[in-house]
Amino acid sequence: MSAKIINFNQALDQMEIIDSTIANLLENEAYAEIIDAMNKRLGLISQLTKIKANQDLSEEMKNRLNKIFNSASSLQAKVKLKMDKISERLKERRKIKTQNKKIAY
Amino acid sequence: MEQNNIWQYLLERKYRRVVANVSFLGLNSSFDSNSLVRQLVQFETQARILPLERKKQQLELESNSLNNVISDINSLRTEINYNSIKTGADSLAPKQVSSSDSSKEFVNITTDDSASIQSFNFEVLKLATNTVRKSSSAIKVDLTGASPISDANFKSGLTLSDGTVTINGQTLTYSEDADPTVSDIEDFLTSFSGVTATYNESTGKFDLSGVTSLGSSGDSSNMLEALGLNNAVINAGNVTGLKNLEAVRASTELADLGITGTEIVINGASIAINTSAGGDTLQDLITRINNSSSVKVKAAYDSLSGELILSNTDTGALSITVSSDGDVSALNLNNPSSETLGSNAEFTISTLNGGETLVSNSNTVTGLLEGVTFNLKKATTGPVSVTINEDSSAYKDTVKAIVARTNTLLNRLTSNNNSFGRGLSSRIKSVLTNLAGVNGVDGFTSMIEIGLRSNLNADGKFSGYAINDELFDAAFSSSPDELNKILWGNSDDPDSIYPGMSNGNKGILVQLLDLMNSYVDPNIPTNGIINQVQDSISNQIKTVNSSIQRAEVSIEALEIRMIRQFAQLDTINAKFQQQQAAISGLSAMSSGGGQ
Repeated sequence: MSAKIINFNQALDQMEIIDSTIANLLENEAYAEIIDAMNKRLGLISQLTKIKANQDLSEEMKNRLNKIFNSASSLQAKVKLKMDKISERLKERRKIKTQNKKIAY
Repeated sequence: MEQNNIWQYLLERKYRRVVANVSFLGLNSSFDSNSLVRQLVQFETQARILPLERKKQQLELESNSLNNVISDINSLRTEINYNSIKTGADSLAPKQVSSSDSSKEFVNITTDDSASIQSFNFEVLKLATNTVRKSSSAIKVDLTGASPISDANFKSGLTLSDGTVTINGQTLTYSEDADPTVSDIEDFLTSFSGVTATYNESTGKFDLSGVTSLGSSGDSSNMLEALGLNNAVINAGNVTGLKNLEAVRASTELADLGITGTEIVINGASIAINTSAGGDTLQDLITRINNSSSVKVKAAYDSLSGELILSNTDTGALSITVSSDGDVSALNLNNPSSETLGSNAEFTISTLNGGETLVSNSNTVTGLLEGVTFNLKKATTGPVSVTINEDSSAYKDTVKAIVARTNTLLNRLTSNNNSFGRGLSSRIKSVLTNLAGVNGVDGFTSMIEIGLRSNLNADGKFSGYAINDELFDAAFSSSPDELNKILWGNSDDPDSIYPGMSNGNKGILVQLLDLMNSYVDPNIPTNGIINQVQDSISNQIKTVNSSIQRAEVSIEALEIRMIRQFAQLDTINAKFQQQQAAISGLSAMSSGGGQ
């Protein structure tokens, strides 16, 4: 992941690998590792910005960039979903509370 | 702690802890993760700990209820009072005494269970009195007219003060010489007009004649009081001082009286004495006599007359004997005139000795009528009629009191409304209503026949037992022995004074006592059923406490984990937000550049 970036395509390749890794880590709730990966991903975006300043992007590159954007949006949605799951757990606890009230001693 | 209070406490405690630790949450996004974590922990607490707290409260309530049950059971055990009844310490069927001497002015009559039902007349002719032995003459040191007045009452017993003295309304002033003699005092008193004063050497007292009045409120000398004249009666102008000037004081040492030896023996019991110089005084001897229970006399000293008085503690014509290993003749106790014999009590009982006079050396008379004690108090002026019969109401009251205690316990068990209470209640009812365990009873087939009734409340439910007076009185009257068998009988018990009441099986109330003992008596092998239940409850409370502690630890771990996860998710979300914006910018730049 720390290989030197030579051109835009290589940066996009690295980005796709990181996003794939993040997807796996998200499944395993390895949030600390995801944060590390996100930091590296930010470095790649920074390099992409520099490369972009000296190079026009081909249509293929634009398509890949859009694809990465969409994929990341999907990952972000999964993060929010994790938070929603905790909300679901909250609802479950509410049900338990109601049941406990009905327990007769 | 009230359940709501527990909840409030836990909620606030968790809230404070969460806020203190996760205040950074929610900074990276608009997501209210602080609130979410707090609520989650709250509900986790509510879901896991509050049921345990409720369970613990319930167990503690049961334990307190059991303590109240124990108290009721012990009250019932005390009320049954079997140990005292079986040994006769408390009467099961007391006798009742009634007499024409209702205020017990002349005689107090008491009975025990062995007394027969009877009637008779009783008369007190004479009470028993104590024998008294006292000094036949004063314990004294002789005085003559030439004796210094300071020698009276064996040295320094008399001090006359200067001042005015009034006799027959005439006031003269007494001024003491350096060492006045008895004759000097005679001369002073004779100096009053018409008065002749003489010191009587045989009595040790001053005799005055020609006296019409003695003293005045203005007198400043103590002479008349010191000579015992102020309290003496004037008879035809003659008066004799009450004070024997030769009588020794109680503080006089025995050695100074010429008493020797190491002991004085009274009624056969020895009392040690110290007759050495500086040893016992007359008062010491009196104290030793009064502190001894074996001499059976009480001693006193009449300081006016100089007489030592011994009184028998027992009544009757019983002589008091006094001896010593030395010489105690100075006490003047062994002259024939020293003793006045006590007398025996004399009384009559119309149903004994043909109604002729009976005697007793004590005013407490026992053994003439079985189970009857007479305490004679005063000679009667005529026959006192006496009737002894059974106090059936006392017997019934005893049973009623036990039933009332039983009802208290049953009501407690009913209000507790648990399986333990229902079980004990059922066993009590079984004992009280089952005659199967009482053999040898032919006259009754159920407790109902002796008056035990079940009370019902407005809902028609059992509310306790009651004794029907009519049925119980009928059973007591017609078959008292069978009633005793049913309620108390237990001839197996070697301590019982009622061996004939049963063929060996315990009565209903004794069975009830056994049942109560089995629940609370720590001396029985099982250590009391309630103790076992309490131990079980105590163990359950310990288990619940452990569960609460584990749940608290678990919830705290959940709290920490959730805080960390929320912080991480929030950070990730923010980074995505940031990076997506950057990528979006790249796309826009490339689109713009391309165009």
